[in-house]
Amino acid sequence: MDDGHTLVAGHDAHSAHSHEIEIPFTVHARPDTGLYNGKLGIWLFLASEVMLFGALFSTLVLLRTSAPVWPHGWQILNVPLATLNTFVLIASSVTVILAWANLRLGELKKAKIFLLLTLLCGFGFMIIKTIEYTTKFSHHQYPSTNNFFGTYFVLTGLHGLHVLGGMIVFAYLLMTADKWYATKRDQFTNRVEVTGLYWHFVDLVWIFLFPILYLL
Amino acid sequence: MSDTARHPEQGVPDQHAGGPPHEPLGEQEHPTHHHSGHDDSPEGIRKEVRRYLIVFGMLAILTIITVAIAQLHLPTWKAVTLALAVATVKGSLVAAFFMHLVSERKLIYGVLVLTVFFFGVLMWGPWHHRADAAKSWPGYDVNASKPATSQTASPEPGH
Repeated sequence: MDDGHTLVAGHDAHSAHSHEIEIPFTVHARPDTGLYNGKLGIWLFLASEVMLFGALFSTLVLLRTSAPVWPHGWQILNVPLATLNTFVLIASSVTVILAWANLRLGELKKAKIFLLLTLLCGFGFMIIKTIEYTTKFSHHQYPSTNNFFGTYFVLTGLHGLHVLGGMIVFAYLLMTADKWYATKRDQFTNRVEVTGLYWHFVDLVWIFLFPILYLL
Repeated sequence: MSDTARHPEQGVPDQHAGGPPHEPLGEQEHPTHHHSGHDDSPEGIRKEVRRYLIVFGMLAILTIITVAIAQLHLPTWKAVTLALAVATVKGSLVAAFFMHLVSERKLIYGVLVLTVFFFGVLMWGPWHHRADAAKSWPGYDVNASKPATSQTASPEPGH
């Protein structure tokens, strides 16, 4: 009985304790870094992402400069579709930053519309990418076909996974926007900012992938 | 928002746990004014929005320029240099304005300097290989994607 009481009492104490303690520096800047933790966290993550994509870019350069023959991307890949995707991704970078700006202005409804537009741009990008992939597969062009297609599918596939990851986060932010905005408005605004930073990075990677794979 | 979110209709931002509650706030702890170069007044935010739209227009124009350059089918190294130059300008616009690197905290610049250094190391690898291969492999085609005329050329790229 005593043990049981102790456990219950311990549980209650724990609940009360966890209720009082909030995660620090989700809104305010840490004195030593001058940043709220989420922002520093996302930049450290993006630094690791640079190395991930950097390793693959490095591999592409190595394979391409070592190959006796390497095709031009524009001879094989669909440049108009990729150009359209570039515009879609750039547009989505603007919509996400407009969502953030509207949250700062206290305009939740507009912010949600821009978040939704960002999500739709993500869908658009993935649909266009799917069309590209299925066309390649229908022509029996797979990652195993040659080094050109190997690097093309790995780089665009990894980038596509990042787009998908961003879309999942945007969907979550949209679904929980009302709740977060009502209770922790500043923290929610910062969440949109850091998600936006990630999304801009995904856009930035595409800005380099597009000419390197499709135009050269 | 950058280091804190504050809204026009709000008063003092939420006080969060974690900081020293009774000590006077240092300059960095004052979260409400101009952190990371952001003016949080409604006018300031609207000015920012106009800037973002201008950057969007520039990115769109640069994308068209990138595609137009590719249509010229320039020699490989000219094409590579131009394409990477335009991509670098576009990437810099995204990083500087959308990712607010024009006015960011020193710590983030520090993280990025390290990142750029190690990215450089990654890119140095294949470049070093290329120079090395040109010396040790007679007939090695240093002109990247230029179709080789050597006997080693194979019909399948990369094989």
